[in-house]
Amino acid sequence: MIEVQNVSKYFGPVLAVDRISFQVAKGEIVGFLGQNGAGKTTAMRILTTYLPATSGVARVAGFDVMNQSLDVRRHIGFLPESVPLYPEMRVEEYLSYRAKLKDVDRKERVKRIDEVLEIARLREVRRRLLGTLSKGYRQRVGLADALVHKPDLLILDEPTSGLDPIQIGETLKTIRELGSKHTVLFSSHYLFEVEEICQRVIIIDHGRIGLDKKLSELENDAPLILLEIRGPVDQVKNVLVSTDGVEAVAAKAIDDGLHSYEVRTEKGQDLREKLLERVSKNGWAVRKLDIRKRQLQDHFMDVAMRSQGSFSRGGPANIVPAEARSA
Amino acid sequence: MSSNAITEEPDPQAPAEGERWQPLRETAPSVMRPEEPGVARTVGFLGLFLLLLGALSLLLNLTFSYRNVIGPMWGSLAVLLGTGMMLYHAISDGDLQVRRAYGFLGFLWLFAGVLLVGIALLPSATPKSAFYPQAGYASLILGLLFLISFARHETDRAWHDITLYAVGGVGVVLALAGLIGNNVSTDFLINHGGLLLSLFGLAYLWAFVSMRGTGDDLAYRVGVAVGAVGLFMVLVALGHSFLPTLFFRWGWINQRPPADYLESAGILIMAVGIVYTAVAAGLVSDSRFVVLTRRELSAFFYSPMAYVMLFCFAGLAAFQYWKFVGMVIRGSMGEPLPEPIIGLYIFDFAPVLAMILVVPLITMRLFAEERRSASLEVLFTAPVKEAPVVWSKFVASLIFFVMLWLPFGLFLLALRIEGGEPFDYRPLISFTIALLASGSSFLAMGLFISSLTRNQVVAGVLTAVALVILFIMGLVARQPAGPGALITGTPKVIMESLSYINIWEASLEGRLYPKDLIVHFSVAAFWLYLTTKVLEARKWS
Repeated sequence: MIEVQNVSKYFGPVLAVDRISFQVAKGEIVGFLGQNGAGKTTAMRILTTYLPATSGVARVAGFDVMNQSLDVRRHIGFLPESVPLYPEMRVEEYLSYRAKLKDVDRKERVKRIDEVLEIARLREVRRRLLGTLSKGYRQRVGLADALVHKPDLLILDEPTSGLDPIQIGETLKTIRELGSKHTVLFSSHYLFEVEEICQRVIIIDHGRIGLDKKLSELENDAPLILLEIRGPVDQVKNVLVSTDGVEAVAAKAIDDGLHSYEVRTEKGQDLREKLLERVSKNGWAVRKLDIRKRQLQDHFMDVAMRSQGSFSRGGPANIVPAEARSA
Repeated sequence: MSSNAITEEPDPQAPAEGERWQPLRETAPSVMRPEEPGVARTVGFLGLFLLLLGALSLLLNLTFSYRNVIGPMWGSLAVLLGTGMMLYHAISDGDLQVRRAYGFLGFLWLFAGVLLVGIALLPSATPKSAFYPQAGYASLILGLLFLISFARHETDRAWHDITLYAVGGVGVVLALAGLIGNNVSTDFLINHGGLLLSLFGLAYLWAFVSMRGTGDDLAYRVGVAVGAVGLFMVLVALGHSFLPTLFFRWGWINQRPPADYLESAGILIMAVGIVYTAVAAGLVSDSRFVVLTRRELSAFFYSPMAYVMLFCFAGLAAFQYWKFVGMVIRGSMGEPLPEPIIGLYIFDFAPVLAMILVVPLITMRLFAEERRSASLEVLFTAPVKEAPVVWSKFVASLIFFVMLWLPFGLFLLALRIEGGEPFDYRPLISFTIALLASGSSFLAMGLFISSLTRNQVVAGVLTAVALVILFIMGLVARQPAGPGALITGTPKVIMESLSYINIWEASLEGRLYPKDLIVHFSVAAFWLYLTTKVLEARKWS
């Protein structure tokens, strides 16, 4: 459904999207994660053909976003982040206007508008002026608009931003239900949303893709083992590291003599019993032993930390020095 | 868990293992309270009171021939004001009893209107008062307005449908009567309100189609039929105007046909036909351009600015008319005014300056607002190209611009009817064309400037400055040629052509130069092209 190859986008000297490549298959629900300013919106705008890429190729539903932009637009439903609406129109009137712009057949129009009003739970406000709607309802009008022409692909830019927790829940439920009929690409900076409804996550950071994995794969990733041990730090650490299958150990003091340890292990092993055995052999007291699957948050932090490292090394990585550009 | 005790049973509230988190049922926004039509109700009752008072005083004035406490003028004013206030109440109050009452009133008016107009049209020997058609058409207007507001509020499907069918049915009857009558007799068209019949029929059909929406098959077909009837009218009028003469020339018929059909009836019928077709296309068509234009045009009328402008232009026209009538009366006493006299009416300080003010007010919002609110992005992620968007905004603003000038024409119509004295109306046609040309070029420029910024005020001020420069250029170029002239030669010609002063003055004298029109229309096309490119520029990187 979406194929992106080496797409970059410069705004003047600022590199907003840096050679990203990914693919989304039909029927997937993909979460686009990233901090503010990471390049999510820009990437989405390129996919919706609103902005052109500086370089690279992107295809949506088999059409090139640059050269076949009208075909692409017929196949996507886009919900922009701020949901701009014409304040003087009424909900139904607006949807009818949008349906006409999007070539919804005249005979199906009334029925289709009824359907999207139902899906987006807008029935009770169908006669209200858009300007008088609350943020939550505006978001839903945007969603109804994105759905009205039965697009193959839904691109939702932060569909839950500015909503209250209950509305977020409702919106996520709706998106999950839509996932059975449409391919969905949606962006967010809330991790739990992505965990809740996506099959796949793409973490984008400073314009680059930091991670692109199925959530089910993430869950199988090597777990962390958490220990709290009373004993000399260095020795304990040594013992832990020297165990087979351990990759790294981080220690943190909790109390006098008591430390917590985070043991990162290799994939596919549960080292809890082995570690406990080795620790108790040395006579140290173990107060806690736990295993934690690596969560999305850990991956997200990993990606963020990685790029932060690059920040401190080479200055703001996203800005091309002026000399380099003029050369 | 709420208790500290160890329980055997798991907390029933807790989600079972593996089950996904289910959101709570949404309750926001809180309870919707029906709007309180307190003010509207007061206004409505006050309106009813005024209407009754006015009607009573008018009746008394009619039946007894002595002067009442409330004279006929105040009486009419009270009736008008009262009706307006009641209409406001009908539009804003959707309460069951209120809307049904106004609906009933609407049906009464509709019935009265049809009856009165019908009586006025009946071919009978009895001399009829001019009161019948006037009151009839007024009732038809009121009936339409009240029935529309009734149908908008009515929740009972049956009543809603019955009302709309009534409106549509009356529309069909009026339009058909107009269509047949107008083509049968020129006298009917001009002297017996055939023209009005056609236009009222169109208004009723318009209301029917737009209230039901084109998603409805019946409404769609009615809309298409209106367009077809319009085309038919144009064709018949064309045929009627030219074919007899041609047939006579070719020797197919022996009798020389009357030559003046085109000038009086032909043009009118063709104009009505074109209006029918245009309205039908605007209502029914789903082409992007039409859909966008419809939205742009309605956006004008949602903003209070449009009404302020319409009001100011009506006031301006009234002022000019008052001055003009004074001149005409003085002229009729002393030396007669030279024809064409309407130049004195329009080509004056105030209308010329109004042009500079009104163009920025119309155009400043068009793109700047869409940029500011980012709705441009929503627009261009739908399968819409840039050019139809630009053209729809341009055409909508041009239609609004022409509407602003409409009162000027209506006052002249009043002068012709009340004064009874014919004057040379043809410069009005040439001026309309000149207005369209100069309006196009200026509106297109304003549109371009609006597309450059996201700040309406900046767009407006820049447009006004550009217009002032053009105006001054026009003034400078009008300096008489001679040794002391500021500019001569080609610069002078360019300045004259770009300004609107020359084309206005010439057209009001009845002279319309194709070169002026070409200049203005090509300037308009140039700005529109640039605007399209500005919108496309986001794609150049």
